[in-house]
Amino acid sequence: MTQSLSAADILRDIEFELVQGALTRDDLGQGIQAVRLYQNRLRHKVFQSGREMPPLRELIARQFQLNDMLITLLQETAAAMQETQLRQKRLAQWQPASAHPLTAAIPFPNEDNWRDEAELQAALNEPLTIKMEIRPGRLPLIGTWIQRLKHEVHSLVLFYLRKLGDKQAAINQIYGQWALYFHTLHQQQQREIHQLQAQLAELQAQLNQQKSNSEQR
Amino acid sequence: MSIVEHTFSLIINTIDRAASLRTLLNALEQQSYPHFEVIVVVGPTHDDTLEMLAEFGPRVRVLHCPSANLSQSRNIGLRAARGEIVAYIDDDAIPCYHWLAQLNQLFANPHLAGTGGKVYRINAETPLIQHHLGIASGLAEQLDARASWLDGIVPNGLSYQWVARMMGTNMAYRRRDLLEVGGFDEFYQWVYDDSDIALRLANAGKLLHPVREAVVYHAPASSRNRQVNTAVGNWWIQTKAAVYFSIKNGPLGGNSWRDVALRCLHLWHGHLLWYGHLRRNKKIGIWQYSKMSLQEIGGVWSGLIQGLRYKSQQKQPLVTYDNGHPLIVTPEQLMNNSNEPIQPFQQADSAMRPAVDPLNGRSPLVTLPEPPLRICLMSMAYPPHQYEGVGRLTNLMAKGLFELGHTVHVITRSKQEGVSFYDGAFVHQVPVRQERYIAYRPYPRLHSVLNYSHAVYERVKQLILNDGIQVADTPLWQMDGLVTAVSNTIPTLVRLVTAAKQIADLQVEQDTDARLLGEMERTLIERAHHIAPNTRATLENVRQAYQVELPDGRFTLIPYGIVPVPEEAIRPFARHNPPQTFTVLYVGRLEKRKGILDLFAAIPRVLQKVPHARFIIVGADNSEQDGFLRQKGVRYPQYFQQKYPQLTPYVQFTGAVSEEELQAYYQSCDLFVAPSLYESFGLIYLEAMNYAKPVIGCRAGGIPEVIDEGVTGLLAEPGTPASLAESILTLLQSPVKLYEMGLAGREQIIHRFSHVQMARNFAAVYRRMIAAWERESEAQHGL
Repeated sequence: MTQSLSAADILRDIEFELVQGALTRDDLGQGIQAVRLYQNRLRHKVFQSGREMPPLRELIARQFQLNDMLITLLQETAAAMQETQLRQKRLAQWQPASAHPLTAAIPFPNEDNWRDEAELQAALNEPLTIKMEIRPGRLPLIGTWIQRLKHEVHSLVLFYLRKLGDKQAAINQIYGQWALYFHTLHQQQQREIHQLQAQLAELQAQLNQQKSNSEQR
Repeated sequence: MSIVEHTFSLIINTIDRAASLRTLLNALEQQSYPHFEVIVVVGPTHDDTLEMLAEFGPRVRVLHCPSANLSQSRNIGLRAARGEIVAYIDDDAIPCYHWLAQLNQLFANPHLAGTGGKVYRINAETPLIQHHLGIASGLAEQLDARASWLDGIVPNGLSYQWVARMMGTNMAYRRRDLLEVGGFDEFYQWVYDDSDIALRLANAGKLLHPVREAVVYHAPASSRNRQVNTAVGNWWIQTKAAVYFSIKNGPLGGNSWRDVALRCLHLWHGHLLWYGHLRRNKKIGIWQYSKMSLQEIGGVWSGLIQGLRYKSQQKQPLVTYDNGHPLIVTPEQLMNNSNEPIQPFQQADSAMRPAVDPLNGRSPLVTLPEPPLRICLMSMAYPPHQYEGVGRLTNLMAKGLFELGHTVHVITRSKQEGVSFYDGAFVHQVPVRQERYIAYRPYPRLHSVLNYSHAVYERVKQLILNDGIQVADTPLWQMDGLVTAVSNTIPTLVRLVTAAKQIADLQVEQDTDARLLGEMERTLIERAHHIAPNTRATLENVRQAYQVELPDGRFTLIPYGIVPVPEEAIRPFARHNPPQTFTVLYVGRLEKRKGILDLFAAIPRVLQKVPHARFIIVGADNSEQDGFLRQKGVRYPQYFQQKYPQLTPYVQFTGAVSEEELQAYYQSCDLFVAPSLYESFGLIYLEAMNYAKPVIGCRAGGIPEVIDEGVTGLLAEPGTPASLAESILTLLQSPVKLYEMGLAGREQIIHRFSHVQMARNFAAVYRRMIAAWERESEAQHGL
C-alpha cells in the first residue's frame, strides 16, 4: 500500500470528504423549523393561562404527532445519507483500474464491529419500567397512614406512566428497527462497492490486454 | 421557497457610546443587503452621541428614551419601526457582511417569528463564542447549546420548559409577531429581556429558529451597568431580573412554586458566593463587596414584588407615549400607523467605503476607485501568539491590505474556536480534530496537513456565507489552502516559499510522509488559480523541484514588504563625521546554512585592516540541530572564542533577543551582514534597510533580488570568507558609501518594499483573479 500511494489517491479522498460535507442542511433545517413550530403551538395550547389542562389522551396524541414528525426527519436524513453513498459509489467508479489502495486498506465491516444485534433487539424489547420510591414517613401516629396514602397516589401515577412507557417502548422499537435496517443496508452496499471495484479492475485489465494485443499486431 | 426582499428596521439602543456607535454605523455602510432603515434610540446621554448622529443626517432616525432601560428603549424603536422585520444589534458590535441578507432569507419562511445568529466576542485577549444556538428556560437558565437540538442534548436544568433563544445583540423578529405579544417587558432594564421575549413568543405558538450563520462580532464596551474586563458592575440588576423572570415564567412552564423559590435562592446565593470569591482574590474592595451584597437584597426584593405583581396582572400592555403621557395601543394600530416606506440607510457610495476596525473605529484614509475587497488569508501560525516567518508575513499583508481599505479575514490554528480582531484583520481561530483522513494516520505530517486544511476549508465556506469573502490566499508552506483549492469554491492564490521537497532534499528525508507532502504541494500549485512567488529564485526552485509548468500568465512576482519605521527612528551618522568605531551586525540563527562559519572566518581579515570595527552576533545557537555540536563538541560562540581568543573583545554574542532589542540593534549598527548560503527572500535585509543601514548578503537564492548591488549593499560569493571579508572592508573603509547605501536602502523600503506596496501588488492580483472567476462563472451559467 505504501508504495502505491500517490497524490491522485489523496486527491480522491479529499474529493470524497468534500462530497460528504456537501450534504445540504437546508431541508433538514426546514424540517427542524416545522417541528419547533408545532411544538411551540402545542405549548401555547397546553400552557395558555386561564385554560384548563387538555386531557391526557389529547396530550399523548400530540406527542405521537411530534414523534411522527421526528421520524419523517429521520427518514429524510436517511435519504440524504443514501444519496451520499450513491455519490460515493459514483466516485469509486471514476477510479483507475487498480482498486483504491485506501479503500482496500479499510477493514471490511465486520459483524463483530457492530454492537451485537441480539443484544440491541433485547434492549429494544425491554419494557420501560419505573420502580416506586417512597421515603418512609417518620411522623409518629399518622406516619403509617401517610405512608399508605403516598403508596396509593404513587401507584396511580405509576400506572399511567407505565402505560406511557409501553407506548414509548413501541416507538423506540421502530427507531431501533430502522437503525438495524440501515446498518444491514450499509453492509450490503459496501459489499456491492467492493464487487464493483473488482469487476472494474478486471475489465480494465482486459482492456489493457486488448490494447497491448492490438499494438503488437 | 422564493426569496422575498423584506424591509428591515435596524434598531440600536445606546447610551454614552458615541465612538462604538459610529463604528457600527460605518460598518453598516458595507452590508450586502440594502433594504433597511436605521433607528437609534438614545438614552439619557452625556457624551457627543447626538452630535455624531447629526453627521448622518436623515439616514438615521434618532429617538429618545427617557430612562436607562434597555427594554423600554427596544420598545420605542419597535413602535417607530417601519420595516417588516425588526433587527436588534448592540452599539458595541458589528455584523458580518451578509448579516441582513441571511436574516432576510430566513424570514422567507412565513411562520418564522424570530431568528438570530452566532455572536463572537472579538477582543484580542479573550476571543470566545459568546452565543451560539442558545436556549432559555422558564427559570431564567440560559444555556448555549452549541449543537443542534436534533443531537438530543437536553440541558440539565431545573426547568421543564426550554425554548430557543437569541442574544440581544443579534436578534431579529417579524414586527407583527413582536407587537402581538406586546413587545419587550420593560421591567428588564438590562438583562433577560431577550430570553423573556423568546419564551413569550414560543408560548404564543410562534416559531423561533436561531441559526449558526448571520454572525455578529461583539467588542463589549463599558456601560453604566458594568466595567468591561473587570468584576465591577451592577450585578444585582441581574438578580432582580432573574427573580422576576422565574416568578413570571417558571409556573407557566409547569414548574412548581418550590422550584421557583429554589431557583431564586440559588441565584442569590450564587451571586453572594461570587462576590466572596472576588473579595478573596482582591478583585473588589471591602466597600465594594459590602455595597454589592446589600444591593443583592434589594434586587431580590424588587424582583419578588414585581414578579408577584405581574402574576396578578397577567397582561403585557403595549404602551406608546404622547407628550410623555403613556397611551395603550393595539398592535393593529401600530402596524397601520407604520405603513410609510423606510428611509434607506445606505447611499450610492456606501459600497466604496473602506473597512472599519471594530475595536477602535479607525478606517484608513483612502479614496477607493473600486469597492474594497473581502479577502481571506491563511496562516497556521499567526501573531500575537505565534510569531514565525509565514505568520509574520501574513500579518504584514493583513496590515497593508487594511490600510488600503480592504476587509481581511485570517484563518489560523488554535485549540479553541474564536474570532478576534488584530492588526487590521479578523483572525478566525480554527481548532483541528484529527478525525478525517484516518487512513493517512501512518503519515503524521500528511495526516495533520489534510485535517487542518479541511478545517480551514470548512471555515472558508462559513466566511463565504457570512462575510462574503471573494478570494483566498494560502502559503505553500503547511498547505493551509489545499482542500480549498481542490474544492474550487473560491479563487485561491498560493504564495510560494521554499518547497517542502527542497527542504526534504536538503535534510535527506526519504520517507513516504515527506514524499507525499511534496506531491501534495505540487498538487496545490497545480490547482491554485494564481501563484505569487516572492522572488524569481523561489519560482525557479519550485519549478525545478516539482517539474511543474508555470507559464507567465499563471504567476505574479510579489516581493515581501515591511512596515517602514518612522523617520525619527532612523539614525544615520553625519556624512562627513563618521563614528570612531563601526558596528557590524549579524542577525539569524547560528547555523551553517546561515553562513555563520564564513563570517567567523572573515572577522579576523576585517579586523586586521579595520581594527576599530566591532561585531554583534544576534540569534540563537542552533549547533545542536545542525549537527555542529556533535561534530566539533562545542557550540558556535565557544568555537569562535576558542579559535580566535584574541578577537573575543571585538565580537559580542547576544543569543536570542526580544523584538524590541532586535530593533534597537538594527537601529544602532553601521553595517548589516547575513552571509546565508540560501534564502528564498531574506526579510532580515529589509529590516536593516528600514533603519537606513547598508547590507551585505550572498549571491544565492532570492538575495540578489532584494539587495540592489552597489546601490543598497554588496553581494559576496556564498561560502567564500575572503569574498565576504572584502565586501565588508569595501564598505567599512568608505564611510560615504556606508552612508549613501543606507539611505538608498531606506528609499527602497518606502517605494518598493513597504507592506502597503506589497499589499497593493497582492490586491491587484486578487482583483484580476476575482474578475476571471466571475467571467468563468458567467460562462458556466450561460452554458
